[in-house]
Amino acid sequence: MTKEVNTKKASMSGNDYAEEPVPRDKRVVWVNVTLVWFGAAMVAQLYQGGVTLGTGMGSLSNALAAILCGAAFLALFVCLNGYIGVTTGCNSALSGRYAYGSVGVAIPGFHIADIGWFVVMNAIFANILSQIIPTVDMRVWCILISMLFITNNYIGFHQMVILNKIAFPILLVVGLLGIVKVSMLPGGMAAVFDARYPMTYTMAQGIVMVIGTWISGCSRAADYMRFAKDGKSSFLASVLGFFFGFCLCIICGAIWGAATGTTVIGDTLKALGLVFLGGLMFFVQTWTTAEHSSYVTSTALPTSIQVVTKKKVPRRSIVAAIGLLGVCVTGLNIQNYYVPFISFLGFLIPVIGAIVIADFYIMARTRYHWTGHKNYYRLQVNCEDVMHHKFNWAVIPSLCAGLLLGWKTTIGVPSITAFIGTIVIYCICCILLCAFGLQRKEQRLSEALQKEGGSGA
Amino acid sequence: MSVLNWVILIMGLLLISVLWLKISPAERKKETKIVAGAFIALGIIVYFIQSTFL
Repeated sequence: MTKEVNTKKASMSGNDYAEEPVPRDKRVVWVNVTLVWFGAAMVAQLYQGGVTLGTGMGSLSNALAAILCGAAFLALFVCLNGYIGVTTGCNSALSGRYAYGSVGVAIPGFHIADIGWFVVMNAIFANILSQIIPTVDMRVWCILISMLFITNNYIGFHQMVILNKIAFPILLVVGLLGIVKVSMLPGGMAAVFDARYPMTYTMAQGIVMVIGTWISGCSRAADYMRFAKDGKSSFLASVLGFFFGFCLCIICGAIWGAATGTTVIGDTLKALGLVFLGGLMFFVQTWTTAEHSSYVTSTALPTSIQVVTKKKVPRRSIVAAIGLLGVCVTGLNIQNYYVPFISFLGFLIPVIGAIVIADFYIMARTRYHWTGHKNYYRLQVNCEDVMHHKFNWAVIPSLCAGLLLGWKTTIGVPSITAFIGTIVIYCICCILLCAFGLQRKEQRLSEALQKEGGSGA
Repeated sequence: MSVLNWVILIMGLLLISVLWLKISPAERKKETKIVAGAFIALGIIVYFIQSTFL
């Protein structure tokens, strides 16, 4: 019954299964997924976030409580998304086909946010380099970094593992060395915990800041977890890779900030005597994050391009295009225009992810699923039984309501409110559309396909 | 200083291109050469425009 629409079985060398599920025999051991996810969770801005929290929440204890609460929510979000990835074997955009439909998948696939992030990360690091070596023009660094930081991604996922294997010990050593240096300051760690700072942020604001640092990245967990062998591996990789990678960066930043009393990470590194090692750490860290940004874009965009233009674009072409775009615009101070854009995406991405989560964990287990299928997620993503379901109309009101909730709400944490609100609205919309007969229409399509398959046989 | 910038730019682009060719799989060497060439050309053009007109 399930005809393969995409019969391409040729080697996907370097394409990293952007348009098909990762075969079982191509899955990797959980350690490799953990290391890659660990690298993705290491973001240079987390140190800055940690420093801000460490000096802005009254005391280090408050900052650590906010960090742990925020990180727990993010880890849960990663686990939920990661399990979808390991079950379907698809990246985030492709697994969206189950919830959004074969045409509707263009919505989650159009993930251009990380292109901007790629450019900004490179621009920030080029700026740091030009401060260290002022004789060289910052724009030279921008061009070189834009080319260098797609190197592993252009070659493929497995090269990224090598980079993250290098990044992991550097991060660990520098992070812990910073803690050791802090403990050697007069009064030691006890003095750091006893130190009092102005209460610039409340606990809720602190948690919002922690969640805001990486919620967009968490919604892309399936891009990595689809390479895990099973749900247990995905869970281990999510918790160990993300929770500890993320916490290590932000907690180190908080302790460094609380110990030195400085709010700028560069000054903090100078105060701790870690300029060289810190610079090396930021180099590797920015590289892994930039690779992550271009990677998730390169796995998501081909799906949207295929829906819109009916043409297949290799993943590597997208990576090369991102690099070329970076070469052209990184030196133009584009980061100044990025903040309003990324703020909007901070609401958009969790909402898009919430629909997939609601569809997978709730609606697909009920008789109100928009396609009328049972065990819909067991079908191969490229089979005709999935492809003929074009568009799930329940996502439109859910997306609009979720965005409004995230943008306008003043209750709780906007991202979490938008996330939970979208799940509730999506479930209600699915039931309503089922009552209005849209599910029946989809079921008739499935029945017609079954008959066609039967007569064909 | 201007000469130093050009030297670092061209040397850097060439070194990264060599790295790409070194780690690229055998079946994609040709494609990698073309893409690396595009990066070198674009990098030089972009820097010329940015340093001259902006």
